[in-house]
Amino acid sequence: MRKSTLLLLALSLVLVSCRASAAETSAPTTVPAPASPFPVVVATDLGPVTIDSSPARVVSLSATATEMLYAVEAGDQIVATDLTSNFPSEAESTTKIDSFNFNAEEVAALNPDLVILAFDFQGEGEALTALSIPFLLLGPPIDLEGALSQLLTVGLATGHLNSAENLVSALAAEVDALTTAAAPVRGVTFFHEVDETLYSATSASFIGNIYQRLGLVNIADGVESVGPYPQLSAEYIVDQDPDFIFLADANFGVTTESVADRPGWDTVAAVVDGNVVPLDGDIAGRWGPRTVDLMRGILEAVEAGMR
Amino acid sequence: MSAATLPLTRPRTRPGPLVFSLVLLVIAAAGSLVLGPAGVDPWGAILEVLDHIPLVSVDSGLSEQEAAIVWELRVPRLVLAGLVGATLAVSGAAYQGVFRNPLADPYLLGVAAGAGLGATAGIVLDLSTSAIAPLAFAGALVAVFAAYGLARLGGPRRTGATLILSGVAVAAFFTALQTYLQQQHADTIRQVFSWILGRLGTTGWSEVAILVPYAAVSWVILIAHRRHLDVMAVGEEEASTLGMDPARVRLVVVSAATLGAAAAVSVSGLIAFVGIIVPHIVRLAAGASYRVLLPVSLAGGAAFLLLADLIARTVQSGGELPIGVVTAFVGAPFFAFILATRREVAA
Repeated sequence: MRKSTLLLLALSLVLVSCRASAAETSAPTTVPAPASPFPVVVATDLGPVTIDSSPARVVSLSATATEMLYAVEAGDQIVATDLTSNFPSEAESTTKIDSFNFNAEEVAALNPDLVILAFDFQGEGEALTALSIPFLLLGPPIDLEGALSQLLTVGLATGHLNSAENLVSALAAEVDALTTAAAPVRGVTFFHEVDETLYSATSASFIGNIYQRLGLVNIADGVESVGPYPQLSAEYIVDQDPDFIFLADANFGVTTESVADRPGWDTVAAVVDGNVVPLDGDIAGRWGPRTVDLMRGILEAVEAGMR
Repeated sequence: MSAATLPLTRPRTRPGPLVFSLVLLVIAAAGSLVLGPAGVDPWGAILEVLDHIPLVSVDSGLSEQEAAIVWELRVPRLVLAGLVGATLAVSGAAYQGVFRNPLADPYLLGVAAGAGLGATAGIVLDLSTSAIAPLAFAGALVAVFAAYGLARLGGPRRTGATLILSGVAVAAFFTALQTYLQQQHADTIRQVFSWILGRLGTTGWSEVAILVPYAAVSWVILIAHRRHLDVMAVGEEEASTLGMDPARVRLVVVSAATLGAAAAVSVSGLIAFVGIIVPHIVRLAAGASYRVLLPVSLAGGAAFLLLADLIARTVQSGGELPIGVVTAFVGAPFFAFILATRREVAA
């Protein structure tokens, strides 16, 4: 029951898009060749986008999208990825683009027939539109369903819907299994550290949604905050006395030891019981296929800590 | 009083403003000690502090964790806020006096740009937090030293204005380097911005220990030069005719103010507004004599930053606001109010 719910939720957006695509194409033209699903209409953060034919030159300006492209077996179509795309290792050997300093001319020179972005901070969308380069804006979702439906979108847009569907069913099944297995650790409290200045993430964020599914209690939810990424005060964290501390900033030199050395933190349950857990910041900061690995890692760390 | 007739006897200064600012400081410190998201018993918090005074032993009745919250988090943070606020305010007052420029602040000669470059370099090189403070400190001193060196190139007839312009050039150059480094390492941008916005939230006794010696030296030298600054306020030529060497006084005062400001910036990041607004509030309320201005700025700056930090960490329960946002958001309207009401009185 739960399994099908999760999968159906994720599929709903994409299926709507497929139907739209069928309706649009069947009216003016003859029946398209059954071998090619194109043209397709896919859902993006900027609304539906039509892709006329299977893209052969894909540029990914998002580390998450890069992981998704390889995961749905569209890796052969990739011509360039951004500097932060470091997984899988094949991505390292593609042409590299600095997406933090977006240069439309640099992208156009690669002659892409599809660009995927996670952010539109610097007028990327406007520039690509002006150059008539098709693009998908796939920003951070608010929950796991959103991430899985992006996987399906990437699969549909690149002509790999079948493998995307297989992947998403497998991931959804594993999420359900992890959620069931997490029953004994429900109610365990934690602090998720985004950076050394004690920014965190509430359950309204994507990463917070992962913890929430495991039934863990997020101390950042108790903070009055405008957005899902509040900056906590050290006093609040020590007072809340979380059972676990997860370090999403472990890639930036924060360690179990450096947390224990912070003034006053040596009284926190997570520090006393040795339950300060470094996370792979790359996975924790993305919403790709490896998010389920992160979820499993968190559950295993909590289970080990409770023993 | 006209510029030509300096007082031969020193008029007695009224203790009122200093007493008032000290009372405000005590209230701000007490508020910072007893208020916080953890809801520690206020009386227990006070007893916990008394317990740490040598030869005093009292039972605060706090749990180990509450005691850590008070003594490891609240007290070092309030001490640091006081030290940083006092240092920035007194340095700002001294800069304004020595350059006879109401817009001068401790960051005028490149302290902020130099410290920002040092801190960004440390963050980009992935150094530990404890290594970032010395780099910021070194960067600040290098920037001001460069500004001084540049001004000297202009020839012997260097004035305060030459030095200010040299500072502008050096600050722009250092900021360009800092921005370049930051742009080349965009993955560390959040840490760099956190540092630039100013932080007291993750500090402890070690930052206090770093700041105390520099702040103390800076305060003593500046207070000792309060009468020189009164003379400088009249004009550099007038000061020369009275037998003072304005260039030497400027060097000593700027060095002392820079030392304090650089040390403050290196442990707390760039906290805007304190160095410029506190001295002006004191001037408007207590007069422009540096004999009053410097000590009252010390106490007033400490009280101002303590109150701003109290707001920063309590307005969103459990969360934090950047201290620099609070100092300007609260300080600017407050200053505008003083300015408006005082002008009426003067007119």
